Amino acid sequence: MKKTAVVLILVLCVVFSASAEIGLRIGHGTINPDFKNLGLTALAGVDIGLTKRLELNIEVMSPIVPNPLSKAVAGFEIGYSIGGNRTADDGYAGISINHVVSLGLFTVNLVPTYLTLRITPLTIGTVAAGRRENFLPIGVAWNFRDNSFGLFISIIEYDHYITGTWRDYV
Amino acid sequence: MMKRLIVVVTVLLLCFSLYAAPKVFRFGAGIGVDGDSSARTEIKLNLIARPFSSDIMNPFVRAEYGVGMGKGGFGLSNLTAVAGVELFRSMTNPLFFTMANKGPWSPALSAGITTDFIKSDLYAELSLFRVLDKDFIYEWFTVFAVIENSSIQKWGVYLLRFTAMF
Repeated sequence: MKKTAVVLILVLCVVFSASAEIGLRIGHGTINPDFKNLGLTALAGVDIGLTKRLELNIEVMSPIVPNPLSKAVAGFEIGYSIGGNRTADDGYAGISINHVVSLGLFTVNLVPTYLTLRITPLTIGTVAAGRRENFLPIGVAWNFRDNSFGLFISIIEYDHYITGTWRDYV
Repeated sequence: MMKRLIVVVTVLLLCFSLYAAPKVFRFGAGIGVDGDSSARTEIKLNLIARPFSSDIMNPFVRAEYGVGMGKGGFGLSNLTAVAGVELFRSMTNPLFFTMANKGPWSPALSAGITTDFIKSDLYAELSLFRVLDKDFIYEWFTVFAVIENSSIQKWGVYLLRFTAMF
């Protein structure tokens, strides 16, 4: 376990240092039935650019009302922008209206439990603009522990980029 | 007949000029997601009217309705109607980092009623993390309370309310 954690941290360090774009993600996110009757759940995470179209999202979801942090589902997703480049070099921004398809692995209490597939039908914004809004990401979550399916739903997720934005060009 | 026509045209012109002055009278529509102390989550659509554009105590009215899910199952939310004020607009915006365009920080306070069409209660909310973009209002972590017989019957938090202004 300790070895896995160290390897994971090292891999993340390499990914962080190699990536030109890093953003923070906050929004709504829930996997039903895992969060059923637990109230409002929020999603927070980090968005790391891997290539011009691929991104890595490390995310955690937890109830915030009425019992904050009473449960946590954490994991990662690899997202692919199907509408065009999410970012570009030579000072040009990427496609500001896009669609993303994501594959993910999520843990419940640090036990790998879900394989997820979701589609974000509309993203508005770019890394260069410093922000991106992801509207109505929706998909399925396969609980491979008990072979059941759930819904992975979000109303909106907001990405705030720290690096790779217009600020880097000023 | 001629008199009536003149009155109608004048009223229409007044309405159009109010609508055509975007910085004064503005309508908006938006969507938000909230959760309350009974572990119910709701997604609500809202309509807002902001008749003036003052930097201090700017009034607005808003109505909201939507769907929700909780221990009682899936169903329609309460209809909520409020009147409120934007307390101030400050370009010293602690939330500027969340915005693409420079816009003011504008906390708001509102109160009204919430009803399931059988019973009505008082409703109050405080929106501290609220920013104005040119054509949008973003509100994060707005807190609200439903008050019945002078005591808080229910409280909750809006994770995000996003309103587009026309």
